[in-house]
Amino acid sequence: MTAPLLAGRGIRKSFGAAPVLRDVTFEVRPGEVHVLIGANGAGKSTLVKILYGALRPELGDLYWKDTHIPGGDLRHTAARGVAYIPQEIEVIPHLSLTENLFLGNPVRRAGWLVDHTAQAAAAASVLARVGIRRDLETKARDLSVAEQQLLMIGRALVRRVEVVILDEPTASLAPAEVENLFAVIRQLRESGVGILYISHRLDEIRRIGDRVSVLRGGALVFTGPASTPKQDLIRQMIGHDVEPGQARMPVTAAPALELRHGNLGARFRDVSFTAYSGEVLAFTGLIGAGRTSLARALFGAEPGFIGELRVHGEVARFDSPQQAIARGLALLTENPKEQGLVLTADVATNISLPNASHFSRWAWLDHRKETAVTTDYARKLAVDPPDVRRLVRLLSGGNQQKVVIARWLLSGARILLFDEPTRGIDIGAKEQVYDWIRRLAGEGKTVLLFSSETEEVLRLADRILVMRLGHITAEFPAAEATEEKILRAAFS
Amino acid sequence: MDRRSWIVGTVRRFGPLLGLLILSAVLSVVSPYFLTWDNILNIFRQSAVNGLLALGQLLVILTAGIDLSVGSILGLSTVVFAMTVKSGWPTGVAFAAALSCGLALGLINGFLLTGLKLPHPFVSTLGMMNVARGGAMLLSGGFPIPDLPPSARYPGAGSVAGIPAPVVVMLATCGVFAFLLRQTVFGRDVYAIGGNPEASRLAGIPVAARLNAVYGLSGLLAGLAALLLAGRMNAGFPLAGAGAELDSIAAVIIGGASFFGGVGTVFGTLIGALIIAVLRNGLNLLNVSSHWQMIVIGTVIIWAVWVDVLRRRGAR
Repeated sequence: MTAPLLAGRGIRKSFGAAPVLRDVTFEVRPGEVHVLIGANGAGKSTLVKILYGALRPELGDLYWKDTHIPGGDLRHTAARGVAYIPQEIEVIPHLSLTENLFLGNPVRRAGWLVDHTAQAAAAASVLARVGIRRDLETKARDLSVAEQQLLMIGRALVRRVEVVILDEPTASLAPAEVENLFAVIRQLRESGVGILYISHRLDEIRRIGDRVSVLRGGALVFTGPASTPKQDLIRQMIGHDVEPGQARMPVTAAPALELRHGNLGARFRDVSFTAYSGEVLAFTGLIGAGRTSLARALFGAEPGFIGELRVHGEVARFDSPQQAIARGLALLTENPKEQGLVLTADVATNISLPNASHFSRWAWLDHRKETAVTTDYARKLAVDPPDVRRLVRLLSGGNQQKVVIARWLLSGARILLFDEPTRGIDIGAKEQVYDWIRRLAGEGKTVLLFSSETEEVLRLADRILVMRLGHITAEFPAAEATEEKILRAAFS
Repeated sequence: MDRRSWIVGTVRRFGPLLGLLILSAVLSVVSPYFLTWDNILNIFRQSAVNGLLALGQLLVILTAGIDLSVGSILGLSTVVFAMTVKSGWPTGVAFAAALSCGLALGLINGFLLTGLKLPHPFVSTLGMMNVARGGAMLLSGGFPIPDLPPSARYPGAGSVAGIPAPVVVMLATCGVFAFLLRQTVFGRDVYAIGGNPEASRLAGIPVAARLNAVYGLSGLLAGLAALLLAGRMNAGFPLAGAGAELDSIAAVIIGGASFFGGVGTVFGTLIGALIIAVLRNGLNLLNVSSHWQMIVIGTVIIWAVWVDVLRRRGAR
């Protein structure tokens, strides 16, 4: 067996008190495609960051061809030829292909001049290698998404590379483009390059992979040949104990929010569903499946959204969040710090933003009343500390999330869209948010829970819709849903 | 953390005032004339025009924007004012004409931002700055329009119970805007938009309407400042207010507002305008050349922005 090019042995890492990787050993050998899979939050991206030197492991060592190299230092990995190609496309749109390829790494002449002739020659050969048949002076913005992806691989090939890490490269590609990309990958493999390939599509593994490894809860639980059956891989991803969902009261109430044939560009297509009063309806699936776009579109925050929307049976069309709020909708955004809160303002202001009419007569704002009412809500949600004149940025993530929930409780919203309500908050706050979601549904309100955490979805939802690449691919009542079924629908 | 945030908050609130008091104390020691009633009134009078422009600028900067056109709008409004009054209209109509001129151009600034969705108000108001100045030159033929009737000069040159009228106008306007920002839903929204426009939109705030109003008010205040300036100069003057936009921005920043939006007060801005006036006045009394004055004021601006950066870093 050939010695691995790049290896991490006994890698351990935690963020705060939560362990993210536990004793992971992972190798990339020359001339192989090693596929890494795992559910959201299994630790894939942390492991990859450590392997290419962007993150220092707490414990464990990195090896290059069996020689120890220091962790958390990009200079050591990059110099030896490790290239990372992120999922997001990072080309500079208004620069030419050549300029993009040599970004930050120009061919020099006399030390400080750019050698355009040599650069053009090298660019032509790299572009041929990655299969882009375009003029060198083409601007990157004129390329298709697939070609931009290839251009990013090309950028890595400009330097001497021996290991290429690809993070879900096919996430936004059409089938024909995927085949093209695979051809480039196979050719790299034949030239002896080791490839670490992160994927969310199980059917790709057989087509492109040599070996496959599964991360679950921060541990590497399986490594085997790429021919391993899909069933086995899914079982490895979720562990052996597949829990049945809890049975809940049947939903008999009236429809609260209905969507027929909802479309938003390439983000989601032909999405239809009905959410009833008193239920928690979950939308789950992998990151990038279109959940956040759907939540924002329902709330009137996506101008390109088309679809027949009904609120409590009446046709509705929201051109702005303002109109959605007026009809009793609320949106808890996935990232409260960036989209939910005004960090320069205090807690009271953040609670009262859409609710100013509660405290104002004409345009006059009654601060005393605002303090009293928002303090009430802050206490109700156990915001700690309950001092509403405190700046909201001084609160912990969990408490900030509670401030946003308080805002929508006060607004009296009947239909609440919760987008990843517990991402990045501690367990105590998480439980409180869960309680509130169940309680709101118990009060006859409708909660649409958009979450990629399967466990959370199984625990809270009455019905579960699974999204994949902008489509709803499966629906399960809570009683029938299992982690296995959900993952299968999400990965396809 | 508690104690540190308290200190940060206190410095933010009272830092500019403290600066003004120290500056005044030093100047009153080195120049016996500085602390006389006449000179104090003088300082207030000199800060009135900039104070009004700075109030408008404060609204704009609170929304994380900038208005480069206030100086030019001021100039054009003095011309419109003088021409109206000189062609025989009653003084009241001339007042209304100047104010409408400012308001209209301000609303256009708002429309460029929210209607045409130009990328940043720096660009749109830079354009307006040139357009308004060109308009002022065109209307006046490039010459001042002197000799206004006494009633038209009153806001700039008159006095109320011994207090110069421009000072009264400025302080009254400060009161109105302090109320507007602190006590009304509009003010609340302005702070929220500057703090986080996306969160504000998702919380149902009519962001575009608020921004239009903010730029409109900034223009209106430039129109009001034009009444004071024309009265004081006894003329409509097409070049009036050249560079005034920069003084108004300086007053807002020195007054503790954040260039990144969402933070700042009327009181701070008033103090900022006074600091600039005191610096000018004091350096004049000390016979320091106006060239040095520019260097000093420039340094104070840089220092104020640096303090803002430090505060933001400390807030992390």
